[in-house]
This record gives sequence, C-alpha cells and structure tokens, in this order.
Amino acid sequence: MGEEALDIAAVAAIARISLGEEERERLGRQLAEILRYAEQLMAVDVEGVEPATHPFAEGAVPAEDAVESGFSTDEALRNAPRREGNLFSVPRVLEDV
Amino acid sequence: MAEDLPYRSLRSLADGLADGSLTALALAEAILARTAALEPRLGAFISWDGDDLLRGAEESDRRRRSGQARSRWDGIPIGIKDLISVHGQPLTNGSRMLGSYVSPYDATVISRLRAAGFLPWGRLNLDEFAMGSSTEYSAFHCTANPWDLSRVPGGSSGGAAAAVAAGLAPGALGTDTGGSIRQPAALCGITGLKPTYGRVSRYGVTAFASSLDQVGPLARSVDDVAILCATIAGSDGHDATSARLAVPDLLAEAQNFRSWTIGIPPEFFGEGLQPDVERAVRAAAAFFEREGCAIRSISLPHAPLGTAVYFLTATAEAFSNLARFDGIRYGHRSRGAEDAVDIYGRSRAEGFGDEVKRRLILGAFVLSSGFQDAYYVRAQRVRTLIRRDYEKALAQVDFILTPTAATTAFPIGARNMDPLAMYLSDAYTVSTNLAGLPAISVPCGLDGQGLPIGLQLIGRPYGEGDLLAAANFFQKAHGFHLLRPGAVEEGAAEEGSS
Repeated sequence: MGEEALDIAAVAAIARISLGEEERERLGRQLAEILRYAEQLMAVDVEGVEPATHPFAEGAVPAEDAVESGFSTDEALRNAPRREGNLFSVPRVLEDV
Repeated sequence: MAEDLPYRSLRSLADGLADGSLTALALAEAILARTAALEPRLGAFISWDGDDLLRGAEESDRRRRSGQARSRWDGIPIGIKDLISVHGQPLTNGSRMLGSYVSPYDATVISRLRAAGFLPWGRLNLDEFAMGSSTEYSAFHCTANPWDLSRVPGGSSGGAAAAVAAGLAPGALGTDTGGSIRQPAALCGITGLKPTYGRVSRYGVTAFASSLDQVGPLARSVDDVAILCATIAGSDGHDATSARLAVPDLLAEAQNFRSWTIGIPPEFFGEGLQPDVERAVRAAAAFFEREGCAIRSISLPHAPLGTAVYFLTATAEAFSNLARFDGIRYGHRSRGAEDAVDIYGRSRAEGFGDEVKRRLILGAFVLSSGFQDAYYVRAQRVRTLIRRDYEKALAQVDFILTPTAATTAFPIGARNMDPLAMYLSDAYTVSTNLAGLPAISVPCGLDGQGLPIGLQLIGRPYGEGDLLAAANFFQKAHGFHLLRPGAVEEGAAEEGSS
C-alpha cells in the first residue's frame, strides 16, 4: 500500500532534504522496496496490543531541579558556522513589508 | 614481551604498570607505532591525536609514580567510536554533516573512563550516524576486516572492532542500536557486549534511535569486556532513561558458573544461516549441555519480524533526532542557501550520505499523517509482541543462545548497493534492542575460510553478570579469543622492518 502512497518529493521536503531528480528516483525505488518488506507486519494480529515506545515500562526519570554550571558563551558558540558577537548569524528570516 | 604488547589483556597491562615493567608512555608509543604501520591498510580510525595520547600517558605515569593512580587501569588507552563526545576532540559521527565540529564536553562514559585513569584513544570509524552494518556507509572510508582485508569488519562499530582485533587498542567503546557492537565483534573475532537498555548513560552520545541505542564495550576477552562494562555502567542524572539501579560487582559475577537452563529458538536457525556458523553455534550449545546445563527449545515467534519493526521504529526516531543537524548552530552550512529555511534543505542534502537520507525520508513517511497508524504504530504494537515473546522465554530459561550473525564477514561491496540485504545482516541482533535486553557476542570458532564466527547469548534485563559468566566459561574452555587475525599479522611483519 505504502509504495504507491510514498510521494518522495513531499516526504523529502518534510525531512528538509533537497533532492535532485536522479536521487529522487533512486531513493524512491529503494524505499518502495523497504516498504514492501515492511508489509509483512500487516498480516500480524495486533488487536488489543498496546504499542511499546520504550523497552521498559519505567519510562524516563526526571532529573533533580538543581543548578549546574553549563558552557560559557564562547564554548557554546565555538562550533557555529557563522557568528556575530555572542550570536549565531543566519540570513534574514523576515521579508520586507 | 614487546611483540606481545598489542595483544595483552587489561589485567596483564595493569600488572605490568603496577610492577614497573611497563609504563603508560611505552604502551602509548607502542600503540601509536602499530597504528601508524597498520592503518593505511586497515582504516579503523577516522582520526587520532597521538599528542593527546602521549600527554595523557605521561600524566598517568606521573600519577602512578606519586602514588595517585586513579585505579589499576590508569594509563591504558581505550578506543572510542566517533559517535561519542570527547572534550576537545572532533566528533564526525562518520558524516560530513558535522564539518569541523569539536566536542565541548565529555560524554558520561568518557568521564567514567577518565575517572578510572583509562585514556580515550582515537576516533574510530563507523557507518554514518551508526546507520549500517559494514562501515561502507562511513562518509570517509570503509574499514577492512583484519582477518581478510577484502572483507568488511561489520558495523556500525566496525572501526572499533577492527582496531581491537588488530591490536591497535586493548578495548573500545561502541554503540549498539540494532547489533552495531555484537555483529562487528562477531565478524572480527572479538567479544562485544550490548548492555541492557538504560544500564549505561547515553549522555554525550549522538542519538540515532533513542529507545534502542546503548553504549557498550568491545574487547579481546570476556574479562576485559566485564572490566569496561563495570567502569561505564550505572545511573546518570544527565540521561533520563538511565536505570536508577545499583550495578552489581560484574567482575565477581563473571566468575560464577551455574548449571544454567539455556533456550535455543528455532527462529534463529532458519534459511540463510551459513552451515559453518550453525555447526559452531550448535557445538557451543552441546558444550554447555555436557557441562551440566539444560538445553531447551523455546519459541520467539515474532522475532523474525524484528528487522521490519526496527526499520519503522529506528527511522522514525532518527527523523526526530537528526532534525538538530540543520546548519544553524553547528556543523555543515551550505554556501548556496538563499534564505534561512533553504539552509536546512541544502545543508542536509550536502551533509548527509545516501543511507542517512533514505532513513530520514522513511522516518518522515512512517510518521506522516495518514500513514502513522499503518506503519509506525503498528510496528510499536508488534514490538510489544516481540518483547512478550522474550519475557515468556526468559521466564523458562536463564538465557538464550543463538548465532550473532547469519554469515561470517562478507566481501566489501557485496551488500552496500542493496539496502535491504544490508539491513538483514542484523536479523539476529535487532530484536534484543527492541526488547531492551542485554546480549553478548563471543568468538566460537572459524568457518571454512578461516573467518571468525560469533556466538550470541541474550539475557534477562540487567542480567549482564550471568551473560558474562556464561561467555567467560565458554571462552576459557575453548580459547577462540586467543586466535589472531592472519591478514593483519602478515601486514605487521612486513611493516615491522620499515
């Protein structure tokens, strides 16, 4: 079912990955094959079975709400592709009005 | 002794450091020399910082001389998969996406290694973002298998497994999301442990699939694996999913032989299993039986669905986790981007390789409205069934015995153009990640071509001690872990004269 439904261009846009035409064709073909393989799950009787999102029932344990020292501004910005002063620099987001 | 240095156990190295017959500096120099000699043909590392290792070794020797050694292991280098943050060192995740990123902090497992005096060593190769089973999906290069340089070492922790097998590190830390520690350990003839989900902190480890990822050790003996697991395990406030449980004395537990009841699931001995592998694994079961263990046939009827469930689960989680790589705060930013949003699409298109793109797009699809129930939610329901199978089986037996991988190391290029064939390389390992269980791979012989075979033991939650004990008992009676990879030894002999 999924292979016909897989609109590779639309899904790639959701994943924020720009694809060329050749890449779209190739990845689309490979993903269709993987989805065909996954279709064996459709035959499993899962009526009344709870989905497991985690291995164990305990779930996450909240951390104590205590102050810890973090990075300095310089450390936090050390890997920035572009930086201006104490800020990450990006092209403008808002259009002129 | 100098010849033997690359293959000495952690205890033997510690004894040498304690009695003064060895210094951390001499050990570091020997490892650096061997790495320089073998790396051109092996490719186990993405990078290494020899100065950092030598500096760490000198500091360790100073500590020891002044009676301040942090533990008996102080000064022993441990290789690190390039997915685990080490302060001041690069972190590539096997990808071009991270650019020249340098980690601003240590992962918890690294802090714990350092607290015992171990020296984090090198950045070991992996499939990009740990997505793969051969290291062929590394953005940098494929690692060769030390037993046959034309074959893959397995993956994704293939660099770690190859480095340990080739004597370039006494042990290493890797990660296992669907088999990424156990499968390369099997293919390289070493021992690898995936601890129970939550046993080891994931803080500072690049997240791939958060409900499946687990850090664990790879080493040349069960004892070494136990030492490393004991060092890194335990509750961590920085990881909300780390189990708030005390860790038992794994080194003591690893010595406790018991007359275990062992389960054999027919689902792991089906089509596609290499006959040599089946023979070796069945011989291991027969060995345990001779030694007084009870062997029982058990059923894991949903385990064969593991690969399909894994794909729908891991890709969905990866889609969410890898959203952070957007070219804004760190990593690669496309120069061609015209506006802020365009940065995302282009930076990710340029930074990610094919396999990562495939998985992220699949993840976006299985979570998209209209398909989420049919794919993602259904996979999670089948995951419950897989977990119940294991719960039921492990109520009857102490652990489950299977092959780690259906085949021994495959040739480079054999599966990398066929994503589905590559995914099925992990068919015997993925279901334990879905169930969160601990599992160990230990060498159990060689196939007709002289390639190592891995035996997998799967245990109860937090039952690492029992697994280590059983693997240790098997290992001591057989000595397969003492076999050394021929191909890389020949290489070492040739290089030795230069």
